[in-house]
Amino acid sequence: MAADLKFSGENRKSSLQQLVRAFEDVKREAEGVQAKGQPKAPIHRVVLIHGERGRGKTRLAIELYRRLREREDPAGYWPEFVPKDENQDQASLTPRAEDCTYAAILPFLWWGIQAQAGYNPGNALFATLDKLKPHLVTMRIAHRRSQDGRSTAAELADVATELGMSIAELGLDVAGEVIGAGSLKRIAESMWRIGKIGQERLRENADPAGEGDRHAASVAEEVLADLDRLLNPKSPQFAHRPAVILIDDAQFADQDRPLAGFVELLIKRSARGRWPLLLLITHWSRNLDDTETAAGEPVPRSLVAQVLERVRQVPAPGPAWFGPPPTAELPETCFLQVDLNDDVDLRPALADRYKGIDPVTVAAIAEHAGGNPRKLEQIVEIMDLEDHWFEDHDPDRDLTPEGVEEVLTLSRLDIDRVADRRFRETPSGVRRSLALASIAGNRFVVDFVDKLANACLAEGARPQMEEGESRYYLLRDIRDRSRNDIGGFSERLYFDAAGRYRRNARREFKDWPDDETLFARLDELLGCLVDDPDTFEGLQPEDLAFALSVAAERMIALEDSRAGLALARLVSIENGRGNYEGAYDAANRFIEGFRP
Amino acid sequence: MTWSLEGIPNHLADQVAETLSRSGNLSGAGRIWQALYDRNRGLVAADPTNTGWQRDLAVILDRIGDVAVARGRLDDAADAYEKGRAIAERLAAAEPTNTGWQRVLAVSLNKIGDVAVARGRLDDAADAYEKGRAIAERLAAAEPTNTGWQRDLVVSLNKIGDVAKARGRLDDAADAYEKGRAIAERLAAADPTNAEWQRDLVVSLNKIGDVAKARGRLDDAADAYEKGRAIAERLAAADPTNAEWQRDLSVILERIGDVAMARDHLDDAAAAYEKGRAIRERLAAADPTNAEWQRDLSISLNNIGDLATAQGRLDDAAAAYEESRAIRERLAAADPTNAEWQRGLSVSLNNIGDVAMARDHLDDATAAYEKGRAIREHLVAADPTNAEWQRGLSVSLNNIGDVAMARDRLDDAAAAYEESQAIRERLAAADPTNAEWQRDLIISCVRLAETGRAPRDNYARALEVAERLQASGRLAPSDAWMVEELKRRLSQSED
Repeated sequence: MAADLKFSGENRKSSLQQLVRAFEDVKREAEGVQAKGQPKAPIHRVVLIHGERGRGKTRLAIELYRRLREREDPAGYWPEFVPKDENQDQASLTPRAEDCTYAAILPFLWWGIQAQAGYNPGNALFATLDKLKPHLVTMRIAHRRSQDGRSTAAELADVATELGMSIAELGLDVAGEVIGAGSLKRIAESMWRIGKIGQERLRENADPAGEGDRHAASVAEEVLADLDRLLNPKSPQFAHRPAVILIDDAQFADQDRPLAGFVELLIKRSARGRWPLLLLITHWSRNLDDTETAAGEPVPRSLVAQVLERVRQVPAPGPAWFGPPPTAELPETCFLQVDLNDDVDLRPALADRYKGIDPVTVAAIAEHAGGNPRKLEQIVEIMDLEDHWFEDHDPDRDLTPEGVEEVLTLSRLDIDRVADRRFRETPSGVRRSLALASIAGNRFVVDFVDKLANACLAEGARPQMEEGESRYYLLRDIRDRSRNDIGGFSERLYFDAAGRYRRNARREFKDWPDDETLFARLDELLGCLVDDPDTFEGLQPEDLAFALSVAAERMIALEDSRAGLALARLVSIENGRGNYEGAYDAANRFIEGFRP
Repeated sequence: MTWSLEGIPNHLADQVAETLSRSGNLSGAGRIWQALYDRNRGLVAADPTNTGWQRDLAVILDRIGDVAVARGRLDDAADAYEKGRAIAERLAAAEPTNTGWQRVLAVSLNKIGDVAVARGRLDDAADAYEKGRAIAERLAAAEPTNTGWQRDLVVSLNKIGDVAKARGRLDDAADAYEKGRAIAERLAAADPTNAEWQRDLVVSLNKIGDVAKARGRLDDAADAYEKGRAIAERLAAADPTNAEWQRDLSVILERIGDVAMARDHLDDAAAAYEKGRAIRERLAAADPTNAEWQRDLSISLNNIGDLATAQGRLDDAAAAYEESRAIRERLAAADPTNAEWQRGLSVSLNNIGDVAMARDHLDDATAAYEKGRAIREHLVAADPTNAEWQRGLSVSLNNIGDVAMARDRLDDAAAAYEESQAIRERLAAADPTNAEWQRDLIISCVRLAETGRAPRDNYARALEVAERLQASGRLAPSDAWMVEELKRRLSQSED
């Protein structure tokens, strides 16, 4: 998200206050709980932040991060959340390890998981593990450090020695204060591989470079086991610190059943273990209840909505029950709903962004934007590109009369038209590449789109997509190939805008193929991938898993029996990279269509 | 939209099936492996010299057997394992130096033995395990530093000990367990931080304790259990959040309580049982949905009931048994298809019946025993090949006979005992090496004789069985009195 607006209207302030209070409840309990004694009521808090698209659900969660950072993290372990950072857009809800300050003691754990639209089972959880692991290690040593005052480097050196790793090779400066993220990540990876992040004693002869002895059958179970050791007050490794876990866009877990399963396990495990956990779930309001399509077809509530309903139910004791009365896994006292569907007062955010604009103009623009933060963001993006709308081309000054007219015209449009307008602001090469990318979906393998462009338009698309990310913020994750080659539209709005544009692209480009031809080319590429993935050199396992998921979906829709092979390959890839839940889901889809 | 295995390589299909199996979808996994078997059988038939295909087929058969076992289909499992064994034997014979194929054969043999045990065919089981052991010994001797081979040998020895124990050959059992323990001790000493090896040693010590107890050597049993407890306590203390280690500790405490009971050290038994119960209560409370932990707690309550019975505190015993029954009723109601939960409930009902008998509450005893019998009849009807269910029914019938005897209804008692005897004759004939079943038959004959039904014939039959057990060294030391007592009764009985 490029337009880094701070929506600090009174109504959002009160919602933020609710989140802060929930965090304080959890933190107070974390400090107060004793390791001994009988099991008591759960101390976790689960907050469901719901609203329609564009209402600022994720933004509210990020505001909580900022607030906690200011109030709870004076030593600055956690970095500022900078959405404009090319490597840290809104989809990256956990800060990068490289941006954290490890000389400071971790004050609370923050972990964000972005549910993703489209079939890519288990990936949302699996893809965030690398970001989580270093913080689990610093959490493990946080309590001891706060008591004995030792440095992170000294603690990590002990851990590395116990693991049999070479301190010199790790590049650990034991006497210094600066801890390289690379060293920490390597230690975290070794500990994870042998299943010892949360365990009290490390094996002296563990082979950190080997396959390890973590016999994982479930990524979720492994993460939960480590969290239990660090967050359960009865564990010797209890970190005496609260944790905040954010599940963003949870409605998309309908296509990622393992993620919905993880949410359920997380709530149950945190209840039983009395973890000091604040779980934030953002969710579209419309999917919280059973609905119908326009044609009258029933649409059940989302999987995560069903999970929340289940865990809030008090189990029936049964005729032969003995012991204390049963309670819900998520008692009502621990559950909070924040409804963001009311209009936001956008004036303060706009005035804060453009300090030179006349307050009357600000009020008029805000009124026309209809209290929709996302729409205002789109307008601001365009205003940033059109500096001639400002006096002396200076966005710190007031708008010219023509500029006022332009902005008010924009703000009268509906949000999709504003997005279309933004789309049209881009150079033709960018527009063509984005229109082509929209064939592959809201998320796509960049190399695939590049190959598609070569096949359909006799030109590559990567440089144009990179420009679409760096200059126009319409795409994300194109330029950063450090982990994978999966990119995507930064907003669903732009994916939709690109699709609308694509269908009419021939008006502008005479050589533009029709959709039938484009999809046929895409299917050819997917078919080649399924027949022999080795022909696509350079794709990482994560890219392959995603591409095979797309292929399976397409082939099932097209009634192509190679869907079975696509799913079988997906099972193999997911097992190979350790995304076990993804493998289970694909295997079960395989058997659903299997007829020997 | 449907698809078959066409165009899908073996290794991919196998991985899908294996993944399904891990995710709990056994029927799905079985379908894929069966389809793979059908496809590969054709390839092997077309080129019997291709060892790669032979090996693939053996592996697939092994998987089919595993799934069949997990689904309770023992005949299908035995069939698959036997076919797999035949292939593995051919491969191993053709290339005796190939350790991989030797190990495949050893694993096949162990699995055949496991299925034979489950079907009550102890001779077959012993035969298979011995063959497996011979291979494991060869591999371990050839490569003493290979901890995998060493561990395989421990597993083989434990299995051989289990079968010997079930056949009443307690010396043989002790010998096998001791050999296993020696290896497990070496492994555990070589790497004290390897929790799995420590755990193997605990298992060995438990088995040694069990067999010592069966031989009446209660001090030895207590010694073995205490050694196991020391290790289990260390593991449990190292990671209190590891539920499996907590459970291991509770199992040993239960055994320590049992042996203390047998030595009449009732206070020690109470202390051990209570500690075990406390652990199991914590586990059961931490996750009320975990059926195994609920079941463990019900076992602890039964032990506490047994102890109270031994101390003459029949009210306390009844209360503990009732608590146990309540848990088992919940488990059985939650999953009526789970035969183990049904069996557990029938055991609880028998315990309740026993206490009622001891309190002379004959109506309550009858009610409990009859409910137990109904459950066991249902189990037998569902799977007549399951020897364990057959034996359970015979115990229920004996209990019902006992109540009838207490009421002086000799005809009713005789009818129940006869029914029980018929079952036990069948079991004893099916496997003459099973010492427990032979002993059961002796009891049935004596009970029937006591009702006045053909006392000479029945005592003679009981004596014949007891003498045979004694001659083969399989009469437990604690039953040594039987032969003389039966002779005395026979001499005094009339036709």
